[in-house]
Parts: sequence; C-alpha cells; structure tokens
Amino acid sequence: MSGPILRMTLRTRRLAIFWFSVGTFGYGLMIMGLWPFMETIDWTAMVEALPEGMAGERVVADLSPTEKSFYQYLSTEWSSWLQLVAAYFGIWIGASMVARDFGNGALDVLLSPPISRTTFILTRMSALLLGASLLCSASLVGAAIGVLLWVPDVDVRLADLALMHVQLLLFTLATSGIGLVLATLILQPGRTYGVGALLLVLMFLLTIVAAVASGGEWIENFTLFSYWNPIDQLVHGTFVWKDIIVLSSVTLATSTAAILIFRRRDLVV
Amino acid sequence: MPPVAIQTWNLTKRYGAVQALTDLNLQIPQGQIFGFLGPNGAGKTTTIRLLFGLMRPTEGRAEVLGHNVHREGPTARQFMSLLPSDNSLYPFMKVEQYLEAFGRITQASQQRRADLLERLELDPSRKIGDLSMGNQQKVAIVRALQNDVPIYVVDEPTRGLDPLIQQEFGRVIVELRNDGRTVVFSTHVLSEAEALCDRVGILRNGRLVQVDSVAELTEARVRHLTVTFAQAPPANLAIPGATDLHLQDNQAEFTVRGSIDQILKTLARYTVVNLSISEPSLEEIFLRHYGSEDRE
Repeated sequence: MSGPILRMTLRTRRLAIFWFSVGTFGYGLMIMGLWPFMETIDWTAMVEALPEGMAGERVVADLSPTEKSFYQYLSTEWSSWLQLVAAYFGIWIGASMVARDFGNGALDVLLSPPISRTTFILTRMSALLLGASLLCSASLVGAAIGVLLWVPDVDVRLADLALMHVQLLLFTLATSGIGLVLATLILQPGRTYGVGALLLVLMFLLTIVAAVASGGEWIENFTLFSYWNPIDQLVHGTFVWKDIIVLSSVTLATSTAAILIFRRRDLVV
Repeated sequence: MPPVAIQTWNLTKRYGAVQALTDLNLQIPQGQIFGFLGPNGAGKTTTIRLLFGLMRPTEGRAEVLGHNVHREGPTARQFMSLLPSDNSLYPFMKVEQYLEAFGRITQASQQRRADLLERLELDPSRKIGDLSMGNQQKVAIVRALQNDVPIYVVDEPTRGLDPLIQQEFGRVIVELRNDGRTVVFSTHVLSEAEALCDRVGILRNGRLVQVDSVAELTEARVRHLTVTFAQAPPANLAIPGATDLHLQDNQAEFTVRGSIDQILKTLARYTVVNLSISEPSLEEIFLRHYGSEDRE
C-alpha cells in the first residue's frame, strides 16, 4: 500500500465522505428524535398491512407493543433509506476510485511513479474501507445519541446497534466492490456511474419483487439488499452469518476481480 | 557511445483494426534530449504510454536502463518521470498542496520544487482551478520535473506557455541534459525540436520514419517565404533553391528546403518591403520530404 496515494485519495474525496457521513449522522439522530412523535402510530398494524414479504415478519411477538412498534419503525426507515444511501455511496465511491481519475487524466500521473497496479488498487480499497467506516460510524454515533436522548422506553443494546452497523459496513463494502470492478471494466466515468446506478435500481426492484411476488422468494438471493436485516441484530442479538458470509464473499470476489482486471487493463485515452 | 536510456524492439500496438504503433525500434542514449516528432495521431503518445506501462504492447518490448517496462514496471518507472499531454490536475487544491502531495509519492526534492516554481514564475499559494491554462501547464511541468530521476518524458510540454516561459523551460531542459539526464521531448512543433533536441525521431502513422540529428533535420526543413518588393520584380526572377514560385504584382511566394542563406543574398539585390517566413505543418513536410507513402 502507498501512504502518499492513500492520503491523496482521502484528500480528494474528503468532501463527499464528510457530507455523506454528516448525512448518516443526522439521519440516525433524526429518526430517533422523531420516535416520540412516531410512537403514537401503530407501526405494527401499518407494517402488517403491507404485502406478506414486506411485513418485517422477523420481529417476534414476545416484545411489548411499544418495542415492537419501535423496531418496525426502525426497520421501515433503515431498510429503505439508510440502506439505499449506503448502497449509493458504495457504488459511487467504489467506481470513482478508478473511473474519476481515468476521466480527468490523473490516472496516468498516479500510475507513472514506481508503484504496481496491485498496490494502487489495494491503496484505493483501503481508502474505500476508511470512507465506508466513517459513513457507518457516523450513522452509529447519530443513532446511539438519539437512542440515549429520545428512546427511553425501549431497551436498545448499544452493542447490537454497533454490530448492526458492522453489517451495514459489509453491505457498503460489497456495493463499493461492485462499483470498483465496474470501473476497472468500463473505465469511462459516465458509463461506469450509469451502469452502477442501473444495477442498484435493478437490485432494489428485485428486492421488492421477491417480497411481493408469490413464490418469488428465490429472487432475493440475487440482490444485495436482501443481505442486510438490521432488525435481526437489534431484536434477537444474532449476527446473521449467512448475510455476513454473502456480503464478505461479494466484497472479496469483486476486489479480487478488480485487481486482476486492472493489472492487465490498457488505459487507452 | 553513451549507455542506452531507452530501447525498444519491434514495439507494436494495435487497437482492434487500428495500428497505433508498428515495429518501433528505437535507441535513446543517456544524456540527450531526444525529440519525438510527429503530427497528431502519429503514435507519440502511444509510445509514451507503452513506456510507462499504461498500455501493454501487442508485440515487441521496451527497456528503460535495462529494465523491461512490462515485466519490471515499477523498477523501470523508478528511473522516469512523466509529463503527460493531458493536464490532469486537481482544481480544488492549491499549487503547493498539489505538488507536495505528488512529491511525497516520488520523494521529490523540496529545493528543486522551489527552484522550478521561481524559474517558471508560478505562485504556489494559488488555487489550481483559478489559474490560467498556461499556469496550469506550469504546475504540471513542476510536478514532473521536481522528481530527481535520470529520464524525463515530456509530452507536448510547452502547450499554453507564453514565449518567455517557453524559453525558460527550454533552459531547464538543457540544464537537465547537461547534468547527464535524458529527456524525451514529444512535440509536433518542428522549431521547438530544432531549438532543443540533440536527435529527433520522426513518427508518422505509427511508424518511425527516420531518426536524424537536428542538423540533418534542419537541412531537410521546408519553409514558405512571401516577399513583397517595392516594385514588381522581373518576370524571369530566378531565386536559387526556390520551388513553387508564384509571382503576382510585386509579391513573390515560394518554398525553400534547407538553408535560406542563398535566398536572402539573391533578394538583397532588390528593395524588399516585407518578408515573411512560415513553417509548414508537419504533415506538409512529410508529404514533401518523404512523399505520400511512409518510408519503411
């Protein structure tokens, strides 16, 4: 890994990482801050009115109505917005690690010093890891402060909240791996971001189809959105190993593919 | 013969059906300014990208100070610094921050950087995005030349620079050469190559047409002259060495290859009101000098 390139990578992405992190921090704080107002809504009934697959069936019945409603509320918020933000951030920043510098010509300059392409990509992956960690940590801190301030009537274990964000980090890394591998294949920034966004929308739609279509559960195996279920961790305190293994495998596979492709890739202007 | 800095053997690059570079056999000795001359699309940038491992050759190989640029890429690149033709700067950074950031990658000398900034009259406290195109080119030049390496490869380096800074840049390049460094100077401007280079390799349509000393190149040089006389010259005006002579009223237009000394001596017999000399495009030179077909 190259320290100077890592510093430069973080420096050139610092505004994006900072503002995304401010966003997730603020969002964590906001949804907890809104709970005293949302408490009056019967989230359980509302969620149960949704199609069967989308009803958050993993929340068990032995919770108090308040707790059950709280987790349904969180599930609704996090499984949509937070997950979408993490996925967008992952694809975008992953793709930018190669495509942006290729597009503005900086890649030539970055690769002209005596470092190998493998070192370059590994350095960029380290930057991805740091950026994604900051994003997820900001969300965790925002949510944790919010819980302490505004959710006194639900026993939210901070350790589980932290583990849930570790899973979110793995989800973000998996999507950024996809972004990175797309960038090494396509190189052109516009096309890379376009294909990345298309893939993201496709996976999101597949998640919905898998949830609402009868007999369509098998479809959820093909979308990363199915592999992050915050409520499992928060309610049951279980680390969902299947999700962890899938997300880690996707990250590992895409990272390896990105290295192998980039090592042999002609950087044709 | 001094040791070889860069050598290529049948270096070839194809993109599908497009032949970007064909069988480039080149030997650049250390301590020279080697001009890489050719019109746009001739294969100059492709060659440079191959040397820096940014592309893989379809055939052939290249070595830098004895290191294969593809098998031992990072080792070979230890000895080189690149100034690409495309200005690839970070506009939101200050000049100083940018140069320091890149200098850390290559462990460039701060003293050298400060010296270059002063000589090229570049304010390090300015934000890159606020600089003119010429000043941005200076930033790119300092970034490349701040590295203490035996070989510098500069692709169209004077683009956008004002004439005084071009001259200063030329002096810097010559000093590097005098210090034993090798400079590969890619340009499509003939006069620039003439002024700075010791030897020149001419590329056309992806083929190395010829490697000449600058003296040979000057000898082969073609120029257009337009002379305005005080009175109409005689219809049988004879100018030695002139071709394509056209007389109209009191103006004569013609083309000269090589030295213009005899021409000036001939013209001195008449009262000349104006004399303009223009350099033809490289493509025109190629057509005149080498014909429409590439020399193998």
